[in-house]
Amino acid sequence: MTTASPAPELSLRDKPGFSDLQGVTVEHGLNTQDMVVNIGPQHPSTHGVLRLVTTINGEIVKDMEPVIGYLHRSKEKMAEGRSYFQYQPTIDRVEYLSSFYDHYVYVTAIEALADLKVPKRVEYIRMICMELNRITSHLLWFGTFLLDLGATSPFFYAFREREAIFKLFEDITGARMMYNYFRFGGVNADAPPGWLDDVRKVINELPFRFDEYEAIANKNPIVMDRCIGVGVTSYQDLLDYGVTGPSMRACGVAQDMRKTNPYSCYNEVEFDVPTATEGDVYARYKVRMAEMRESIRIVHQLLDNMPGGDSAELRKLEKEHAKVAEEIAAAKKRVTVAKKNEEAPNAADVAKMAEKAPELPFDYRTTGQKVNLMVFKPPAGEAFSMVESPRGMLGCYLVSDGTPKAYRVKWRGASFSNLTILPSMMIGNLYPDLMAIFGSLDIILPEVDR
Amino acid sequence: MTNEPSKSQHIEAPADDNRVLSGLLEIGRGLKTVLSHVGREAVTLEYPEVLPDLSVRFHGRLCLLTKSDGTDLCIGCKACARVCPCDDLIQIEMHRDGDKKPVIDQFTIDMGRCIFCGNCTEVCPVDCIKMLPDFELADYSREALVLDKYDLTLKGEDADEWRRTHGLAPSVT
Amino acid sequence: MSDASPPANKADKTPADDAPEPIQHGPLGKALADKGLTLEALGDDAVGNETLGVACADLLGVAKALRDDGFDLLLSVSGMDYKEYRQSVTHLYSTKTYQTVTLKTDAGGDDTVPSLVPIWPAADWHERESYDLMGIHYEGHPDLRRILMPIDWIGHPLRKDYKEEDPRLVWNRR
Repeated sequence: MTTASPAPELSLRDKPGFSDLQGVTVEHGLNTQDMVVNIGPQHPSTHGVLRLVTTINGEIVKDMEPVIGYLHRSKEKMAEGRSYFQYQPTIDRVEYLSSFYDHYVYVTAIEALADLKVPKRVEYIRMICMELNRITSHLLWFGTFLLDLGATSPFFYAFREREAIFKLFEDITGARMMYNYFRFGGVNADAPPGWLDDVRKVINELPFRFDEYEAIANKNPIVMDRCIGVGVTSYQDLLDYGVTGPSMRACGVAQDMRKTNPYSCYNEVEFDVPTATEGDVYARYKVRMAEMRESIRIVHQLLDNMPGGDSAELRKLEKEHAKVAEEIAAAKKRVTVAKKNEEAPNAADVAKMAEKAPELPFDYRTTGQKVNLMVFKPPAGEAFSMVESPRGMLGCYLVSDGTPKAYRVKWRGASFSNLTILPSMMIGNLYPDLMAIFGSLDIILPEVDR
Repeated sequence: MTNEPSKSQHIEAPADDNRVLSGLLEIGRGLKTVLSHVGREAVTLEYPEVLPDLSVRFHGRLCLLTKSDGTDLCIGCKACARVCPCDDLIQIEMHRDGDKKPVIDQFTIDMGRCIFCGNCTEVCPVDCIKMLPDFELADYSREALVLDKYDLTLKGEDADEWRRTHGLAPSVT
Repeated sequence: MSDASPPANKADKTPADDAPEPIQHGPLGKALADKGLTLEALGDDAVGNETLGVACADLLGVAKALRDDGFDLLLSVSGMDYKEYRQSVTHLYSTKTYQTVTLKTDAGGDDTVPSLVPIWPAADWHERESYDLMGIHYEGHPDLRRILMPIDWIGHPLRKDYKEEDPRLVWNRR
C-alpha cells in the first residue's frame, strides 16, 4: 500500500470507477482495457446488413464475431412452394450484383437434370452477359473499396462505366439489375439487333477507363500504405475457411472454375487466370483489376465468334425460311385442294420439297428445346452445379422429386464462406484496417443470408 | 485485340526509396486524371426534365393490350397469375357468355408488390399482358397502386403501336 | 451422364419395380472402399459428381481419407428433410484434381450427425446453418447455435412439416 513512489499522478487503475474493471492490460506503457465496439448492422462500410461484435483493446482487435441473418429472406424455403419458373425471378435477389451467375447455376442444374441441350449461341450470349456482369461487380467493388479507404472520385467513375454496361443489360434483358433472362435450355429472347456492336463499343472503351483507375489508385501512397502487407493470409488458411475466388487467386493459386472445370464454352476462349502471390489486400486489388481486363478479352473473342452473328442477320435468315415454309404449305394445300384450271403438283415432289425445307441451325437458336414453362418438371434426381462467380465458387444444389416444384434448392454462396475468415484475419490486427480487409474480401450480404 | 496478353497482371511493387517524391508524383498523376474529367461531357441526366432513353424491352408498368378494335384480348386463362412469383399479385375474375366467349369481369394487379420480373408477359398465350417503359409509379397510398382493368388497359391504337414497336403483328382482330 | 439415383426415390420405389441394379462404385468410391472404408455407392448426380452414402459411424474416417486424397475444400453442408429421416449432404472439392464429391449421411432418429469441423474448419458456419434451418445436430461442433434465424426462433424452417405459428410474432396474432 505504501509506496515510496514520488510520482503523484494517479494511474488509470487508481481512478475511482476503474479499479474494479476486469481485463485491464498494460500495452505500450498504457493501461488499457477491452472495449466492445458494435459495428453495424447499419453501417455504410459493411455493404449490407452485417453486425460485427468487435472487442478492441486500444487499436488492436482482440475478438470479433460476425452476426448475420438480418437479410435472411428464406430463399431456399421459397423454392419449395413455387414452380421452377416461378421461383426463377427471386434468384436475382440472392446476389443482386452478379445475378446472371445465380441464374446460370440454377438453369444449368435443371438442364443437367432434364438433359436439355443448349445451343451454342445461347451459351455465347450467356457468357457475354456473365463476363460483363463480372466487370460490373468488380467495378462496384473497386468504387466502394476505395470509398472505404477514403477516395470519393473513383466511386463515381466506376459507377459511370457500370451504368454503360447496365444499359447493355437493359437492352437485352429489359432490366438493369434483376435480369430474369436465362431459361431452361436457352435464353428469354435473342439479343436485339445491333447489340453485339453496342457491346463492342463499350468494351473497347473500358480498358482506357481502367488505365485511368489504375493511374489514380495503383500507386497512390494512401492506398499502398493501407493495403500492402495488410490482411495477409496463407493459402492453407483460405482452404481451411473455404474461401474461394479472387482472395484465393491473390495467394498465388490459379483456382478458377473457368479453367479447372470449364463449363459453358470457356474451353473455346483464350484467357489467363490472373494471380498474385502476396496474399494481402493489395494483391486482391491487383487480381480483381486484372480480371476485369481478362473478361474484356473473353468478351471480344465471344463477339468475334458468335454463332449466327448479329441477330439482324438471323432475323433475315428466319424470314427467308418462313417464306420457303409458306411456299411449301401452299403447295401442300394445292395437292389436296387443286383449283379448277390448275394442275395439282405431284405429292411426292412436295414431300421432297418439305424435306429440304431449310431451318435455323441448332447452334443459332435461342432455345434448344421448347419447354412449357408452366408445367415444366425435370425428372427426379439431383444436381450440384457450380460456377466461378466474381466472388468465388457459387453452387446450386437442386433436388427434384419429379413434381413441378423443387424438393430442395440449396445455395452455396461464395460470400457465406468468404465471410468466415474475417475474424481470424482481424484478430491481432489494427482496428482501422478492418474496412480495408473487409472490403477486400468483397462480401455481399444478401448472398450470405439468402 | 483478342490475343493480347493482359497487361495489368504485373503491377510492380512500389519502390521504397524516396517515398515522399514518388508519393507526390503519384498523387499528382491521380489529380491529373481527376482534373481531366472536368472538360468531359456529363453522364448524368437532369431527371425530371430529361427522361432516360429506355430500351424497348424495359420492364416497367404492366398493361393489358386490346384488340385493334378496342375489345378485350385477354382470354382469362390465368397463366400470368400462375407463374407470378408474388402470391396473389394478379387477380382475375371472368365468366363465359352465351357463345362461351370469355368475359373478363375483373383484372387487378398490385403494382406495389410487383417485382417487374416479366414472367407473366412471357407465358401469356395471346400476347395480352405486357410491360410499358413507364417507371414513374410513385403514389401517395398503397391502395392507389392496385391497378384495375381500366387502369391497365391500353386501348386500340396504342396497343397497335406497342405491337409495332415490339416486332409483333400490329393489328389483332 | 449416368442416371441419377436420388435417395428421394429410395422410399418411393415399390417392390413391383424391376429390381434396380446395384450401383457400382465410381473410381473415387472404389479407391476408398479398397482402403477398407464402408460406404454405399449412390452413382453420379446429373452434373456428374460422384455421390457416396456414408453411415454416421464411418463419416469421420471417410472424411479423413478424402481430405488426405486432396479434397481440401469444403463447399457446403446442406440439410435434407426426407420426412422419415434427415440427411446431411456435404459437398467437397479437390483443388488438386478439380473433382467434386457428395457425401450423404443419414441422421438417425435423434437427428445427430458427427461434425466435420475437426477436419475442415470451414464446416463451422455451414453446419450451424444446417442446424438452424433443418435441425440436424452436429456432434462435436464447437459452437452449435442458430446463425440465420433469430436466436429465440421456434422450430427449424426448412423442415417439410414446419409451420410458423409462433404466437410472439405480430403477424400470427392478427
